[in-house]
Amino acid sequence: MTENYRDRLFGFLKSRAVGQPGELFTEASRERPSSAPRCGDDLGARFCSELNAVGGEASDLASSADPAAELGGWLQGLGLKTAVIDSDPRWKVTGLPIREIVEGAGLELERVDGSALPADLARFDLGITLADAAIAETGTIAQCASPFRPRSISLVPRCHLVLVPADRLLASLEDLFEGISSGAEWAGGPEGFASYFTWMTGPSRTADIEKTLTIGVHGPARTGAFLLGAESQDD
Amino acid sequence: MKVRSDQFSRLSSEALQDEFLREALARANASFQDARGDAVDSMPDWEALRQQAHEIKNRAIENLPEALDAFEKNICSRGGEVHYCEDGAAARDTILSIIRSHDGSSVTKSKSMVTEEIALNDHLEAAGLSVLEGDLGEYIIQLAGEHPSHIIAPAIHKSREEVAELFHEHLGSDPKADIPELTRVAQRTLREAFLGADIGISGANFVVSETGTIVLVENEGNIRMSTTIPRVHIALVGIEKVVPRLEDLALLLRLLCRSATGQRVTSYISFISSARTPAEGDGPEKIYVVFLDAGRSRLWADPGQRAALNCIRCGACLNFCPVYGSVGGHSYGWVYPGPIGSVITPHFVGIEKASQLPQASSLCGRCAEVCPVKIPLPDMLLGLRAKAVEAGSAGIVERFSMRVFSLLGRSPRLWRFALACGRPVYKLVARAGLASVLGGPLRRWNRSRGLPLPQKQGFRSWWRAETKKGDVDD
Ligand code: SF4
Repeated sequence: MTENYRDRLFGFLKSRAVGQPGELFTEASRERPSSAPRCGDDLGARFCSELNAVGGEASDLASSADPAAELGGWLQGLGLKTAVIDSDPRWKVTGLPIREIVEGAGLELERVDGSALPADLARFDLGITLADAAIAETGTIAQCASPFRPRSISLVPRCHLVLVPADRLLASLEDLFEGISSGAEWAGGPEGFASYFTWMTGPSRTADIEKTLTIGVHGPARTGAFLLGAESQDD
Repeated sequence: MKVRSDQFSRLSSEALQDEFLREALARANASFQDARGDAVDSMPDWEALRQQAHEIKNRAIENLPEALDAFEKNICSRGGEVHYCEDGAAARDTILSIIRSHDGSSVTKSKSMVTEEIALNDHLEAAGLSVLEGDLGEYIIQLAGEHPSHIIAPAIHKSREEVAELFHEHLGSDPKADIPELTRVAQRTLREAFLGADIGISGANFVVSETGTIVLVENEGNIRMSTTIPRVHIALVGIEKVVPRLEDLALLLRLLCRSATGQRVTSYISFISSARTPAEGDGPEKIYVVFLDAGRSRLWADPGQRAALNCIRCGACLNFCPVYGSVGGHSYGWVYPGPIGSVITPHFVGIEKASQLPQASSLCGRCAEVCPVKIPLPDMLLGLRAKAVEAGSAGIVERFSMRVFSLLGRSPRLWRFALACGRPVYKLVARAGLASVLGGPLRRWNRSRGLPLPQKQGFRSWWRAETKKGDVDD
């Protein structure tokens, strides 16, 4: 029945087309619009100020004398008990002893792969992940589908900590989309984007009752994002 | 949803008596306007952006069959399934049979005006399914058994006290709970529902032709829940939601978020191109896109009105409309309120059922000024007024007076004569305050405003005098 309607609909639309419309996928449309914002040279600073402005907690560890201590301090401040971390192979190259830091801050840490179920993840206070990309223009973290990271690890625990490798910080939304289209590695190659991609910018929020802003509805109420220094990549 | 758009004048009169509603609307509109203002000010090229966004949406809408076809091919190539439905009934049946084919019994929904359009919840509940709205505003409205009154903030007409009372009644929470507590109560209840749901239903803000991607914009996280946890994800999408390419979204998202809530981007934006792949553990096993026509193709076929399909549902035209700001969303009698509602409702439900809506505007033009995709809403309202008259909506008084007016307007001599006779009568009526004793529409008109006294000198004699002086142009 619905298949029939497809034919009828397309037949109708084609019969009522007026004139010759311009092309759907023009070459010109592949060019970056002149309006794409310029984010300055210090992408890290821009990222942090954007994210902090919307209630996220961002910090650039590149400029920190002791990144592990800074991260540990933040974790301790949360006052939480349990944390869950994905099994992204990139953890090894961050140069941060993440398990030590988390456990040192008094949290119990469990590692999961992409098959962990939402109901199991919901038992944890904190989800810990690595960003696939981050956008300085808006303070946004982007993550695609991954066999190492369940989609809901950044959603169902009430806090989310994400670390951003230095080479994954992009300037603008355009950079992100162009990267996806060209199959960039951080977008999971052509396959990663092909299933699921999500952007997170600060904590979950609502203003549905009397337009009063309330933080932490269905998603995490606290979101920490720490930019990693380039040198820590080389470890 | 039942259409009551032919009752705009009654519904709006009632709304105007509602003190709380007027206060709530004033507060909401001021806050929406401020937020958008700040966000727009931070973009130096706003006008250029609007023009580009207009061109992008236009390109998709002008090439609608090709754009839909490309989207369909792309999402189907990765295991998605696409249906096209002529009207609400077909869409409801399609969705129900999809749910049945997966033995689904519990549904969580994210905010979607299209599902309101086809009254999906009622239908699914009647079929024995449990359906819960995941968006806080929609959840409130669902518990209250009402309909949204704003496309971005559905429960804007409800006070905190009403919500507390409602939650107390249905969920047993403290009747004096404050807003953060109310939010927590809803969050806890809905969390259970999300974790137990087997079907997630969403709308879509955009669907991308070139990649076959469904794009969903939100702040709470309920859409992520509904599209991640349940086994099956069904997106009900108006056929006008297509955009050509992924890269086009950079611009459109910037404009949508800023125009809607003044945010640079919302807290979450999901891009869904397929169900989970074998390597992934969570995410739905199957994705369906149900395209709804329900009047859209008819609107598309009307060249003067087609651009209304470019709408990205940001709600800015509502937030800046003095009429919406006074009477609220329910007065419009159907799903889509405000200027955009007044334009599309007559197309979707039939002009005869919504002939009052195109009149529900002072044509001040603010909606067109703020619309991020430059839809000329006032021109469209005028076009619809003409159609309504053709469809016989004008009463005998209106038709008669317009005929007289057009007769006078075509003959300068008759015009002068009518003015000469009319002036003294008008003056008498205005001076004596007689308008209020006159019957019919004049009386209603004068209930809230006085009839101004005419100037001592009429325009024509002033013009004659001035041109004689020879300085009109100075
Ligand atoms: S008509 Fe324009 S301003 Fe109104 S909701 Fe649509 S896009 Fe926004």
